[in-house]
Amino acid sequence: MNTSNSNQKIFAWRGIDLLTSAVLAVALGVAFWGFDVFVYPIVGLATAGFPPLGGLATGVWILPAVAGMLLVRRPGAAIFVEVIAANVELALGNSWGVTVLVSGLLQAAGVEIVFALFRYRRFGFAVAAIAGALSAVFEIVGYELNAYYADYSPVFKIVLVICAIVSGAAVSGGLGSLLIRGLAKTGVLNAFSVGREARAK
Amino acid sequence: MVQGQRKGVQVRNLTWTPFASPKPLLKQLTFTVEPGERVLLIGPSGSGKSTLLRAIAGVLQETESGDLLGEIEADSAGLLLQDPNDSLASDTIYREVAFGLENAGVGQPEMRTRVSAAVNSVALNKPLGHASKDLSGGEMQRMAFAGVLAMNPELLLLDEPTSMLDPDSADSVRSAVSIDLEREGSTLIVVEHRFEAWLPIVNRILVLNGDGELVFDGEPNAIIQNHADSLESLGLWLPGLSAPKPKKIELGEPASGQLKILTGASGAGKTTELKRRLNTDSLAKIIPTEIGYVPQQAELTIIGNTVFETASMTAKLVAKQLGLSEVNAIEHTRKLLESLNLSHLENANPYEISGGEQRRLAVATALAHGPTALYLDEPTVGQDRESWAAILGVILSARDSGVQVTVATHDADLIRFADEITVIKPSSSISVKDDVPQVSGLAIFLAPIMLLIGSMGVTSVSRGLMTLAVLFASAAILGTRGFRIARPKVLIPALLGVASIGFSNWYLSEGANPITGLVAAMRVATFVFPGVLLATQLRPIPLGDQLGQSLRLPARPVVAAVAAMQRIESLLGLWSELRFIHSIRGLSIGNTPWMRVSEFSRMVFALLIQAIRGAAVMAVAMNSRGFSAGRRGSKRTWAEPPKRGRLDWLVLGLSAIAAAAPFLIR
Repeated sequence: MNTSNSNQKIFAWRGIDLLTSAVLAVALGVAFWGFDVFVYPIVGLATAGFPPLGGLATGVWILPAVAGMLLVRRPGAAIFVEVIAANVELALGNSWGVTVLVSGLLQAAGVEIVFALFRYRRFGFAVAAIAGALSAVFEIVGYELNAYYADYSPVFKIVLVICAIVSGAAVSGGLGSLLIRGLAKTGVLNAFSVGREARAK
Repeated sequence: MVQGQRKGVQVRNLTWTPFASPKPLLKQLTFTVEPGERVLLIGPSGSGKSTLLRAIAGVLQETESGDLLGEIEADSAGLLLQDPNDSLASDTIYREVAFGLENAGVGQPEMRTRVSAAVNSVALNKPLGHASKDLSGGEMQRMAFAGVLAMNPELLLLDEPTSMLDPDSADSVRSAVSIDLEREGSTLIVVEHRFEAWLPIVNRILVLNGDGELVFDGEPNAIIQNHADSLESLGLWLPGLSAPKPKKIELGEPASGQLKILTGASGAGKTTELKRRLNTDSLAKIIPTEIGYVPQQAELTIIGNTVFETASMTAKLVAKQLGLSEVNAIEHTRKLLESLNLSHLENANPYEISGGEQRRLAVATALAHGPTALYLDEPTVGQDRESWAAILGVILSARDSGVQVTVATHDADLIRFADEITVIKPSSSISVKDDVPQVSGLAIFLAPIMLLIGSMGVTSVSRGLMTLAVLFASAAILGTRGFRIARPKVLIPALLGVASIGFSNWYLSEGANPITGLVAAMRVATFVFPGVLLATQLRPIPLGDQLGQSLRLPARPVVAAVAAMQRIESLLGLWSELRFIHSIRGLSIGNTPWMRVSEFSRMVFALLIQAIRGAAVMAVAMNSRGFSAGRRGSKRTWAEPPKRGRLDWLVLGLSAIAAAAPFLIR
């Protein structure tokens, strides 16, 4: 009896899917807080002179959505993980207040759409990168350009969108994939399809 | 429950091979436990005892991956785990104990009766609204046991329920168990390493060997007397047998060190005191690598892909810094691994060795770089006799080569070797449940979203001023109604954010118009500041109640999210513990961006691994109380109705006015 296929019913989340993805979200929220302490001072300095480059950080905030989807491979995973991560951000204190939830939902929607288009069957680097890129477009075009940067001139708006797309693809798609694969290799994800695939190689 | 209907436990040809494991962990097990029997299950560490309990509880395949052959039939089971922290799903005693009943769809009136009965039967004399996190170790374990009992299980499965507790707390847990057994006549299977105190309670012993095979089965006295030699050779702690002699190991030239012991009741603060001493140790500040540290969660010290890499990393770093060759470091590490019976695992994945092996690896890791002070937190928990002797041997030889050793422990056999003993007394902490928020979940989210929509109307300076004026007035009104800003510091990031928005919209707008920037800043301010202030009122539990009950969102995702959010504090603690361990292992934050990024990545990776492992144990604890998929028939209930914040309607009303304000003037 092989019990390895947790993905037969993609709508039926197991208890461990819910708990692991929720805890992953909280841990990533804590890591973001660490990111602010360790790394962001460098990024912040680098982009202070030219805010559109700040778009290059967009992928960091999308990473939980992509990582959550790569972990549980079920519809709704991106939304579930991103919304919890946004709540953790709120609980630990952030710049933008409750409206990070609006961002979170938009970002997650971008990720969900791409994985749904691939019918929740493909979870490689390319799909993750496309998901991250679309998510970044949703975030910038659907939210930030209206709420924060409405008065940028068209050229700077375009620069911002391009920076965000690059970041969405590379950071959330690329690093998100590397992160989940790295975790899978240690054996802690053996209860998930992604873990078994990594170990079977 | 009617006796005749119960079937006890029947296991036939059970074999379990974990995914990617070359050999089975449990091998061809066949046995029957009659209803009402009380069984002690023993075996060396890594023999699959916990796994067997999980399989009988029906949660193994829901939480781990592997091949299960054979059959198991068992009565409805309640599973109690080693660390009650792993079972926490909520915030108060009442809600923790009620968790299984919620999953079973029990109504609130019946729930109240059953929770009180369960809490009384474990003699937990605390108010039901008491915060579960503020209980001592023994109290928390009894609370977890009450959570098991509330579900009226016919079969109790206890997985090392007292191994982390001091003798008195362990007694309190055992007596709660035996009182329940007398009253209900339940069937019992208990796993414990130091099992002597369970012998009066049990009437049968099952023994597994290191290959996961059932080797002995029978009446306790007969087993212990007839098979003493075999049991001892399995490394089991037989009653009456004194602690083994510490293994003879020589780590360096003789010099005078000291072994200081911190002991005291579980939850009294041994770990806190150990860390306090560690942090005030002047060496830790000047030359961090002069310190060796074995934390209670020994697996936190794992860095790298193999056992050898983990153990030798700091030793190699130190050698490099001193300009020495790595040869000595490698040799010394090998010697430690050999002393601690880990040589055969040098190339193993450190995350996949047993818990006892990880603890020994942490001891080797702490000493490999030759520190002058060594701090260990419960280093002997869960060790069989041979490993115990090895750990003691290493500790004593470190002392005898001049290392100052400090150990927090409740292991009486270890305490006997102390040069100095400090008994930690529990400080009487006043436990207050988190203050009830004045604004609750939904209002916290709805108000800023209304303001976000309203902000679209802020298109001129006068409209911006109008809206901000309404918001200030609102804040004043809320202030008179008792709304307080707990941490004014939370406004600083928001202030910076708004300033940067204003600034960038000014000089990146067409014509670089300063008015444009000012309006943008005002627009963003109208929803950012209220949003940041309201976020301070966010509490996972009341939010979950509202989402699940008022909005009727699917219960299980809400419950999982809330349980995970409850772990924020412990994950923050984990983060700083990791940072500390990394720093005394010579992995500093560094000055170059690259060093920072690489240390940050290592930290995140280590944090996520621990978080995910924690989630797996949570899943075992929660699934064993009915939190698994596929039980569609019964609808989940909630222990308490949702609580609205006192100021909810006021906040929503004021926000609606503020959101409309910009549209009111030209």
